[in-house]
Amino acid sequence: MRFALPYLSRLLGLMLILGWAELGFAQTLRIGTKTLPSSADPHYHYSGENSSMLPHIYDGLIALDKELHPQPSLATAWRVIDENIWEFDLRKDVYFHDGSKFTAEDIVYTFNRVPAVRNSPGSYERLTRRVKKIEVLTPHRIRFHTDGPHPSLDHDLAYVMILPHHLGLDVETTSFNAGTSAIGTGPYKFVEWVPGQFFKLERNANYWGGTPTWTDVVFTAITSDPTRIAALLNDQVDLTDFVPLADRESLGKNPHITLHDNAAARLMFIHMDSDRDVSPYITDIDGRPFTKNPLKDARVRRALSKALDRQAIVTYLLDGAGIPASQILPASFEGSSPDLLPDVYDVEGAKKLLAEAGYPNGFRLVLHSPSDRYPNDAKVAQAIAQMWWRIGVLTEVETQTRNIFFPAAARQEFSVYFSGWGDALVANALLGLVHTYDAESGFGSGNRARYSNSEVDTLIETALTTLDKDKQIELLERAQAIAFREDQGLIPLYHPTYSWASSNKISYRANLEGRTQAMLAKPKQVAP
Amino acid sequence: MNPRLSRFAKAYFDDKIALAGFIGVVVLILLAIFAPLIAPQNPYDLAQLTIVDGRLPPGSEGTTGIYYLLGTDEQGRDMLSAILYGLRTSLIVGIVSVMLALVIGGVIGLISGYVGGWVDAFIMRTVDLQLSIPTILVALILLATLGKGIDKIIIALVVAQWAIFVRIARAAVLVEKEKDYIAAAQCQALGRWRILFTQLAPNCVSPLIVMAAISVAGAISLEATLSFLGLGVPITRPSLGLLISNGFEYLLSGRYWISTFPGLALVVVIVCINLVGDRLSDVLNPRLDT
Repeated sequence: MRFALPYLSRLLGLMLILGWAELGFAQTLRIGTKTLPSSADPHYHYSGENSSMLPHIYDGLIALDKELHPQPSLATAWRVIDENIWEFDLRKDVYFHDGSKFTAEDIVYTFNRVPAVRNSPGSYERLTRRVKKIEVLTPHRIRFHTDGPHPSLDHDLAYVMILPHHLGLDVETTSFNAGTSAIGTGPYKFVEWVPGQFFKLERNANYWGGTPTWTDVVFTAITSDPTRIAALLNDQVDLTDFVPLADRESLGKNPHITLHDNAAARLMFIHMDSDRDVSPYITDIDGRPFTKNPLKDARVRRALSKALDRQAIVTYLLDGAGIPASQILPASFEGSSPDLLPDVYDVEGAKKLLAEAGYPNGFRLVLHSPSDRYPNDAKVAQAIAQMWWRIGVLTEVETQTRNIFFPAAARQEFSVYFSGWGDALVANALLGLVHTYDAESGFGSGNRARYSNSEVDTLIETALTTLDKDKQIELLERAQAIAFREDQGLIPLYHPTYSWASSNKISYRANLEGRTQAMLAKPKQVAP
Repeated sequence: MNPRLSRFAKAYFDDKIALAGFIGVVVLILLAIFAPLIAPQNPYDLAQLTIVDGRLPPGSEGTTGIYYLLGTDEQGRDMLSAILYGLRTSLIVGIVSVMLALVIGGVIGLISGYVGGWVDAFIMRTVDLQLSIPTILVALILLATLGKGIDKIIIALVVAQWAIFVRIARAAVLVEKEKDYIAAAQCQALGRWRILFTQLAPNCVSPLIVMAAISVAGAISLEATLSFLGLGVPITRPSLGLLISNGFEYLLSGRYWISTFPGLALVVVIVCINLVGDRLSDVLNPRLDT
């Protein structure tokens, strides 16, 4: 017994050390992701996967918060000097991963490099081209001169990752992909990347924003949905993204798994041909073509919207992974109107509107939909058809694979189609989807149904050059009230949800841009 | 009763399994014909469906008051009704496409074998060429260009299957045309075409019938494959293959009935038709004839 006590205490000490070590191992975060980035070069390909991965390694001047409001990052403060000049104060004592110091010179370099990147499949130039000139006042204060008022400059800057100027303008994308030039100021450092397989990162202990949570982060690409979920269930990964709708119910019931949802900055909608007098897929109830397209009448478009039970679609076909929509982005966004609520499901009201418009017996149409672009897209299209049949609009559904569907939609081959549109800014989203189509300016690039309302156009255009936030919001709310309710230019259906699933030892901040990032994951407090 | 037919029937029904297969096929055809009377719901009438009744397990009662014996899919389609109607589509597609392929392929094969020469060479090389390409590939390419619809899928299946009937008809002709009764017919100075269609053709029919019976099962499963891949029938008028495809993603989440029941139905259809086809080939095989 004499030796037992010290022995026991030593054992306890050992256990404590092992316990800490155990906790140390737990600091590795393993993420099973559907897609890995296409490059480690932050200026090569502007895409969702890249915007998700690159902020681990690099920082922008601005960061976006949960509601996508601009927040300080490498810039600590900024102000609008006059309508074409923005001034930014840069953060001091920030170092790149290779030890070089961050200054204004790196901003100038970054903006020069973006247009110089070769063979870019999706250039970042669209974010930088409106900056005409960068004026360096001091090493930590700069001014951007824009070509006219550009209210979303701060937002755009969140996607432009800053590189150290010593890399030089002739640095190649391949040098980033190999890791040699993948140098940023971000919370994690590049370790190894095998395209299509994994991406390894380690903690940047000198991060200006405080020590990052995880010592190591491993992203593993698992393209197949069931395999990704199986990897989570078998504890091979701690977190997965793009949870398939069919698995939501069983994962929700699993006590070891937590689901994390957030409404996406995306609208699923129905576009109607309100432009042509004779539309290819619309006929009267006996199958004869109309001489006057009924969709040109706003009452008919209103009726089609009222006939839809949005909540049922979300509940039964999306397993709750969505919210009924009334406008282009969810209500939490700047420019979304809190007063514009989703249309109430009202079969009688819809029938009455149809009768008023002169179609008491309904008519026939074909609804086109992609079959493999959005979660359960073809199933939702059939449900829309069901609901329209009930008001006498006899709807056939034709689904096509995305590579056939989108070019055909762009050629106006359809009369009515179901699709989605995403953009994190209300004004930009409206410009792309609702504004009158204009090939030259690129306005209305997604307006494949050619809806056109000059009042809405003017409101959107004015909002895009209005720097006064309150005024801008007012204009956008008005534009949406007309386009989505009074005139029903298109029918908003629902905002899909991005969802992640994690082991219940981890909390994850679900976000509306669909980003899968180690910065958003935290270990839950567990007793040692 | 025709003595030949009764002899044939006796030979056929000698086998108990073949009898079961025959009864199975008859029942399936009756079910398909009377589907609108038997089915609790018209699954092709979208106004009768509601997603509120979606994915109910077998034996549930829906909001519309229908008792869903085999459950529903995500559109609220009663699986039993959908299977009955899907059976219709499958049988129509299978039988019609094989009949057409039989007639077209058979006639071409008869001509090819009887006429011979460069016509024969040309036809047979074309057939060889087509048979060297997998059937499913031929059908896939055709459907991708033709679009959706039952008529389109029938066309695709006819094109995919005609070649094999050409070969069989030609082989039969080559054997038959050397026989004495043909020589006798020629001595009577009957016309070439008359000999071909009144004398030769009836005697070449048995191998074609055997092939057709087996091909129906093949055509049905080919249609199911194409529909499963999303080509073929319209999405609101599902065939058995499309029903299986629709339920496929729910298999791992415990909603087995959406895929399993149409799958079982497809298996039963194919097994029954194959049993009939096998027995036909036994009975009609001249070498086994005593």
